[in-house]
Amino acid sequence: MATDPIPPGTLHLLILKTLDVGSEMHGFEIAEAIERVSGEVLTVEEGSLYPALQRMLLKGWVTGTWGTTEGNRRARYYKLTAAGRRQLARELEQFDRVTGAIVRVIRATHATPAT
Amino acid sequence: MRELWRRLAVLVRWSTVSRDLDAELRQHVELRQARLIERGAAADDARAMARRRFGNMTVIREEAMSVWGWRWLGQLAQDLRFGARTLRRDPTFAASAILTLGLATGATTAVFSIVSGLLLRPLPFPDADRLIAVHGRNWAEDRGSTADLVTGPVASLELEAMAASQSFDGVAGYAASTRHLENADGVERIRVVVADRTFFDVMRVKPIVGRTFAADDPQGVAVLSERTWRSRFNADRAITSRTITIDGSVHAIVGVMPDSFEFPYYQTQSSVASMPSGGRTEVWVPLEPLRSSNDAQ
Repeated sequence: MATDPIPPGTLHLLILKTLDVGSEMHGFEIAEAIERVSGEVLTVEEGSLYPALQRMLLKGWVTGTWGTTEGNRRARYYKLTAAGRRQLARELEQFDRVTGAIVRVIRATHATPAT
Repeated sequence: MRELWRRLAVLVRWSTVSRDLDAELRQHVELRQARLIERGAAADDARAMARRRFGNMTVIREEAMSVWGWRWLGQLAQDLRFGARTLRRDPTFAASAILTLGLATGATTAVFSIVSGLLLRPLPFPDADRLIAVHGRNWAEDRGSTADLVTGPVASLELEAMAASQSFDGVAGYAASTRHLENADGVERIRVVVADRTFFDVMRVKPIVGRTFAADDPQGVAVLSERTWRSRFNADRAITSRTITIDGSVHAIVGVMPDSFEFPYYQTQSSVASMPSGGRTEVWVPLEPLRSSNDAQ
C-alpha cells in the first residue's frame, strides 16, 4: 500500500475540515480519520500533528478538553471554535484558488492561454 | 491580543501543559498499539511498531511546546542556572568577576553623574544661555572679617553701571543668606534670598500663586517657594492674605514660585544638603532699593 506524506501547508486545512465534520475528536482519531477518508493515501506524521494542534490552540481555532475514550482512556478532545470555522473557510477558498491555478498550468497544452 | 493571553496562560501553567501534552502523546502510542493488536499483531510487536512509527517523543513534545514561543525563556533560565553553578564552583573567580563589575559600574556612574551635573542638566530658567552670573569678591571676608554680607549694598555701583549699559536686558542683584523664621514651634534657620525687585523679571519665571515683586513694593513683602507654601502653609490658596515673620519683622506674602524655580541653583545637591532648608531657598525678599542704599552712603 503506497502512502504519501501530507503536502506542505495543507495539514491545518485537513485537521480543520476533519474536526468540522466529526465535531469532537482526539489526536489519534484525527490522524486515523484523515488516513481513512483519504483512502489510505495520506499519512499524518505524529511529529507534525501535535505541533500543528498546539499552534491551532494558540490561534484559538480549536479548544482542547480532557475526556474519556470508548476504551476508558483519558484523551484530549479537540473541538472547532467559531474562529476555527472562519479559518477553515479562508483556507478552503485559498486551497481551491491555488489548486485550480496549478491544474490549469499542468494541463495546459499551449504555452500561452488562448484569448 | 487574545493570542498573547493564551501564551501567558500556558506560561503560568507550563509544567501542567507540558505534562498534559506528554500524556496525550503517550496515549497516542497506546492507541496505535491497540489498533495494531486489533489487526492481528502480537502485543510486543505492536508496541515496538507503534513506538517506531511515532518517532522521538521528546523531540515532538519540545517542538509542540515551542509553538507557544517561550523557548528563549527556558534557555535563559538554563543559562542562568549554569552560570550560578559555575560561579559557585569557583568562588575566587566569582569574587573577582563581581568586584570587576562593581568597580566598573561605580566608576562609570561617578563619571556620568559629574557629566550629568555639569554638562547635561540644564539651568531651570528660560533663555538660560543668555543668563550670566557676576560674582564680586569680598576683601573684608578674605581678611577674616565676619561682617554681615547680606544687609549691606551688593556691589551696587557695578550693578548700576551694568543696568545703565546697553549690553543687558535686565540686571538684578541678590544675596543668599540664612535667616530666622518664627513659627508656632519656635525659631528655625531657613535659606532666604534677598534680591532686587527686578530679580523675577530677569529670571523670567512666573509664580504659581499671586505675583512677584513690584517696583513700588515696600521692604516687607515676601515670595515663597512652592515647597515652603506646601509644607508650612498647607498649600493655602489664600496665601497672599497671610504673613511670614523673618528675623522678627513681618512680611506680607505676595506670591509662590514653582518648585522648578531653584535659585540659587546648585548643580550637585550633595554640597548643599547640610545647609538650612537643604540648600533650597524658601523665601525671597526684596533688597533695599539701590537708590536708597546709595543715598544712605
